[in-house]
Amino acid sequence: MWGVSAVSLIKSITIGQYLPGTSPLHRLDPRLKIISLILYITAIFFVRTFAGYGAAFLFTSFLLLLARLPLGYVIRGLRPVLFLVAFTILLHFFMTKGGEVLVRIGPLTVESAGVRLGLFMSLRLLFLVVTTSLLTLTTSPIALTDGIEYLLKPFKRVGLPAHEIAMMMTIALRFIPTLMEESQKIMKAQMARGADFESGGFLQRARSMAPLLVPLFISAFRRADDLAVAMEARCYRGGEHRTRMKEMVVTPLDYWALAAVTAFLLLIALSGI
Amino acid sequence: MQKQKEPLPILAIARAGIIAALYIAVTLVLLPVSFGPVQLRVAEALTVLPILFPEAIAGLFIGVFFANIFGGLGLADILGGSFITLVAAAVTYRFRHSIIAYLSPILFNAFLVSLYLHALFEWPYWLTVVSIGLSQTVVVFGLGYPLVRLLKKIQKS
Repeated sequence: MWGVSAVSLIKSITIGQYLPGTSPLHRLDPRLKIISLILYITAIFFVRTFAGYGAAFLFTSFLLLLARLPLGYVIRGLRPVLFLVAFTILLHFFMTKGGEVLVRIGPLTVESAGVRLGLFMSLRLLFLVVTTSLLTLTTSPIALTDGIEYLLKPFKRVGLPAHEIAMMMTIALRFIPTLMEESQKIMKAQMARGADFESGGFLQRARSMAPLLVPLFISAFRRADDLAVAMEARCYRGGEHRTRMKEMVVTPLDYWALAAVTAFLLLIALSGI
Repeated sequence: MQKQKEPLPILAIARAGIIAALYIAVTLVLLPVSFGPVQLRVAEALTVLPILFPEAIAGLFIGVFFANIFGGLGLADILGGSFITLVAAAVTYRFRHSIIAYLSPILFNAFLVSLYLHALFEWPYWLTVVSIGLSQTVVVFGLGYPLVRLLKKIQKS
């Protein structure tokens, strides 16, 4: 079934996408936005009680409001992780023991400690996904890679090619839609020739991917060769002395954002909620 | 690759970028079965590519990084998953002439990804090891191995 559903699913993927806008969150410097996200996620790992998640909920809602993102869009982005949430809940409901016995189904019991842990971990998961998508929804891929390149700079000393890695990221982001479209085309073409991506066991299903992957890979490698020739023809010479069309500038707004997230982290860490 | 002073050849940069895009595109197209504890991430078949191209190490690192941004479990998975892939890919390249090249993406992912999934979301460790290990084995040997043989043949001709 998923051979067909995969083809139609792409339209519903919202995670990782960028929604252009002019909200304060969109205008933040990508470098500080990445650092703020890391701090915020650290804060979420410090949360000990459901009251802590209440605070995180308020803070996240505030950010969502500030970003002026369509709420339905953000919620739809959660759909792919709902399976994981359900898995986490079931796992803890039935495997984590302690406290009162709430439900008994034959040899299986659901105990209060399991219910608590299951809900707690699912909330953590949901918050991680929402906060990460807050970054990707409000930051263009180019700004994101520029920010990453800047943050990788200190590692240049140990030989990390920061610019080259950022360039690879830019190429990757540029070619994702192209290759996705191509893989769908190949899938449909192979299905028309009787390829079956759906049935069979675990191994069978993996093997059935070969008619999709082999042509896809070969054409992708050919594309890489063409791209290299095109870059060479335009005299691409790596990171030295390269200038940008949009310079990254840190504004007071960025410091306010960083201060707010740091305050939230301290509140959670020190109050123990 | 890391230590050299010369800039990377343009073809290597382009190829690494495309390998990353391939990993992400395949992961997203097959999303319904890509994520989750019983994951069959077909894109993991690419983890054997360092056998053929050293730049695939960087490509895979970036691929996993973005694929996990788009549909993973947040920052821990983004950083953890991509660094584990980086190490596994470097080992694959280092031992590209032996079976270790194929075992590396299976073992590193099974044991280390489970470690942080256990630490972060308290999933049972060994169950996760078995599930990830099984799916990696299927993808790497069922798909990655024939793929490398085919690409080698094409390279020769």
